[in-house]
Amino acid sequence: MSDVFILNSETIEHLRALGDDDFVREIFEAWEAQGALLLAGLHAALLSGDRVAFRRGAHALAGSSLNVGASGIADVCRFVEAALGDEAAVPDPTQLGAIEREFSRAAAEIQRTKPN
Amino acid sequence: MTTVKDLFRCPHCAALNNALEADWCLCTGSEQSPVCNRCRHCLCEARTEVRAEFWQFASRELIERRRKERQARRLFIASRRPDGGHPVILLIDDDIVIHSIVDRVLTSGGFSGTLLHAYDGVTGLQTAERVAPELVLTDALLPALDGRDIARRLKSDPATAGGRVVVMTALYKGVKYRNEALGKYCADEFLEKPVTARQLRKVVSDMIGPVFAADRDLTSVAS
Repeated sequence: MSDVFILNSETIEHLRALGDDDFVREIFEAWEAQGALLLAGLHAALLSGDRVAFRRGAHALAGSSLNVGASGIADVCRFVEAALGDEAAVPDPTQLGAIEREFSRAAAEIQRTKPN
Repeated sequence: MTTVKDLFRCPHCAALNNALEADWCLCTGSEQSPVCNRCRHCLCEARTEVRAEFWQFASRELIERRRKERQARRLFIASRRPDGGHPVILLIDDDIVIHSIVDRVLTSGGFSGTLLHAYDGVTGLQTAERVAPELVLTDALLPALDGRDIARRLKSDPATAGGRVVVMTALYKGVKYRNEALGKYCADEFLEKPVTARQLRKVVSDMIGPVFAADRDLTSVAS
């Protein structure tokens, strides 16, 4: 049973209904690999103070995470995305820290849920 | 002349509409119907008994309009696949996860066509212009070129205007953005993410006809 605040079990069940264990594993691994790239992009955007790039990266990570039912990180990303909607806002390390923490939690939960 | 028989209440937002002046939906079931002017949802979404009652008392003019819309829809599908060939769908999204999921949703439903993939807006638009797919599923917020702009450009080009475009979004949610996508950007449908397998298969069937094994079974039973 997955943590409801990290993973949405309904979405996971939808994924399982679409295919076999290989498919679910493939989707999770694609999410993890893409997530790592997006986090690297967020780091770069934070260093350069690029609000638009940071916001876009948070949006992409939220969308990707929703597809695998990782609702906890999606919520955090959307919160950050909304906070950076103001043109005067700048990305800050606490936002990236929160996203990274949620990503780690989601990845750990997905490891537990992922078929062997 | 409009009569009270031509008025319908939108099943989604409850607004009162004049069916004779409304646009018509692209649903491919037997129930093509008028679209709400306010929220762009169609009467197809109403309960079966509500639709049956509406059509039972509809004016002659409206019945005739429905007949013409069905005929136009059949002609459209026949013109895109004159030899009964396979439809082409183009998916434009920078999220690799959604590509795997859409691929699986289509193939597990027995999709009888080809799915093409593009990962940014510019490549997606170029592919759509070259291939003229029957259906483009595009994310709204894309690198290089916005998915809604892709819809507008495809619809304004005579070579691609006949294809259907569905804009999907996790960001631009709500009636305002839906109306904007369907109106200003000329998209044919608007989906809010995450999209379930059932929603996706329904919208694909609504847009381009029976392309799933289950659809074809139903069609053969119906005919």
